[in-house]
Amino acid sequence: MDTNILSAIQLSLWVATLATFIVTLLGTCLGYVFAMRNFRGKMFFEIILLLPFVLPPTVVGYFILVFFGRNGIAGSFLEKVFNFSILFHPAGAVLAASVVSLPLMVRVAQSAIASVNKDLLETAYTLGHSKLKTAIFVILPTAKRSLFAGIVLSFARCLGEFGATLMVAGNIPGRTTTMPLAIYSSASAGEWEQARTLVITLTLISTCFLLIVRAFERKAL
Amino acid sequence: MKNTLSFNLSLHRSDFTLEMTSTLNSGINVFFGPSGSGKTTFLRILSGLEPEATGFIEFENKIFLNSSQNIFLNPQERSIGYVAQHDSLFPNMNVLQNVLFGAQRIPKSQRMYRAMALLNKVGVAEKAHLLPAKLSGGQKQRVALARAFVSNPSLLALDEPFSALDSPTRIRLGELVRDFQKEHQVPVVLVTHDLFDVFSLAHHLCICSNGTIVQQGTPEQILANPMHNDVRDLVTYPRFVELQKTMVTMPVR
Repeated sequence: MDTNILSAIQLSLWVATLATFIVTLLGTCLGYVFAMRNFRGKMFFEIILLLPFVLPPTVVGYFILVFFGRNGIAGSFLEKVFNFSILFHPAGAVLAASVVSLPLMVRVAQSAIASVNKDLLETAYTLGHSKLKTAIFVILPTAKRSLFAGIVLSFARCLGEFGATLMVAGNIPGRTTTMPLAIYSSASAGEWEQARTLVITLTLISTCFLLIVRAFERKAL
Repeated sequence: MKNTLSFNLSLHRSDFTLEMTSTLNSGINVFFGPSGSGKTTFLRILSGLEPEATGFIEFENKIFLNSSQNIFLNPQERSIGYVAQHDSLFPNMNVLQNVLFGAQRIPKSQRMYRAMALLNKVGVAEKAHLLPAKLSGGQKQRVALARAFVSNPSLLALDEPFSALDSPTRIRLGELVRDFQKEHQVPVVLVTHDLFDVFSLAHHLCICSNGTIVQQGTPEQILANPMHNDVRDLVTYPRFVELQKTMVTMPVR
C-alpha cells in the first residue's frame, strides 16, 4: 500500500483516538453540569457549545484560527510560553476534530445523565456519599451504554472531520493529511485508485462503528 | 432529649404549602394521609432533600436545619436511613454491593460481616450476587431496608416502603422495621396512605391533610377523640372500622 495512504490512515486513527479521549472527558463533565445544575447563563453556554454542531466546519475552523492563530488569545499564549503553534501541526487536527465532535458528546452525555433516576442519586446522598462519588459509582455506570454510544459516534465524527482540519492543520502529506483530506487530494489530482482505497477503508471503519452503536442500543432495550 | 426529633417546618411552592410542627420520640411514627397531603415532602425535608424548606429540625441535640441561623445539614451529614417510595436499588450493583454501598458510615472491617448478617435477617442472603433486575418487588424492598439499616442510622425515614406489595410480604417487612426499631430504639418515621400500616405499626400517628398535621397521638387516642373533620371522616370510613376490629385481635406493635 502507498506510504501516503498508510500515513493518512495512521494519522487519522491517532487524531480520532486523541480527540475522542479529550471529547469523552470534557463532554461527559459538561454533560453532567448541564444535566444536573441550573445556573445563570446556562442556555447561553449550551448554545455556544452546540454551535460547532450546526455551523459549517470551515466556520468552526475559522474561529479556531482566530483563537489559536499567532495573533489569537490562545495562540499567542502558546507561542510565548511554549514556543509552539498548533497551526499546520497534527495537534491542530486533534483540536479541530475535538471542537467539531464535542457537541455530539455533550448532548449524548447530558441526556444520558438526565435520564438517570433521581431517586438513585438522592438515595446515594442519604447513604453518605458525596456528589462526586455518586457520579462515579451511580450515574456513570447507570448511563454507561448511552455514554459508550456517544464515544463511538464521536470517534466516527472525528475520523470523518474535514473542513476545520483543513483550515487549522492544513494538508501536509505525511504530517497533517488525514484520510478525508487524502481522499480530497487524490480525487483532485485524478488518482482514483488511491482515493478508492481510502474511501473503502473509511467506509468500512465507519460502518463497524455504527454496528457497534446499534449493538449497544439493542442491548440497552 | 435523646432520640427526640423536633421540627417546625415551612415550604412554600406555587401549588403547595407545607407547615408542620411536632416533636416525635423513639418509636414508629406513622404519617398518614391522602396523596398530596405533604407526607413525602415532609420526609424529604427531614432527609435533607428539599433545601428550600425553612424552619428548624433538631434531632438528639443536633441541628439539621435552622434557617434563621443559615444552618442546613446535607443529606450526607444527617445519618438517616432513607428508603424511597419507588425502587431505589442501584441497578449496576448486585444485592451485596447495594448493601455495602450503604455501609459508608461504619468501619471498613465490619462492613462485609454486617451486610451479610442483614441480608440473612431480611431473608435474601442467597440472592446476594444477583442484580436488582432479577429480584421481585418484595425482595427489592427487603434489600432497600437492609441497606438503610446497615450503617446503624440514628433515624429511619421510610416513604411508603410497602406500597405495591402483597399482604404477607407487607407483614413480614413491617416486622423487620419493628424489630429494628426495638433493637436500636431509634425513631422511625414511616409515611403511608395504607390503614393496615397504621394499625400494625404505629406507636404515634400523625394525620396529614393539605400540608399540615391535623391531629396526632397514639392511634387509640385519635380513634377515641377525632378532633378534625378529616379525622372524623376517616374514623367512620368503613375500611377503617373493619381494619380496627381485625387488628385488635392481632399481636402487633
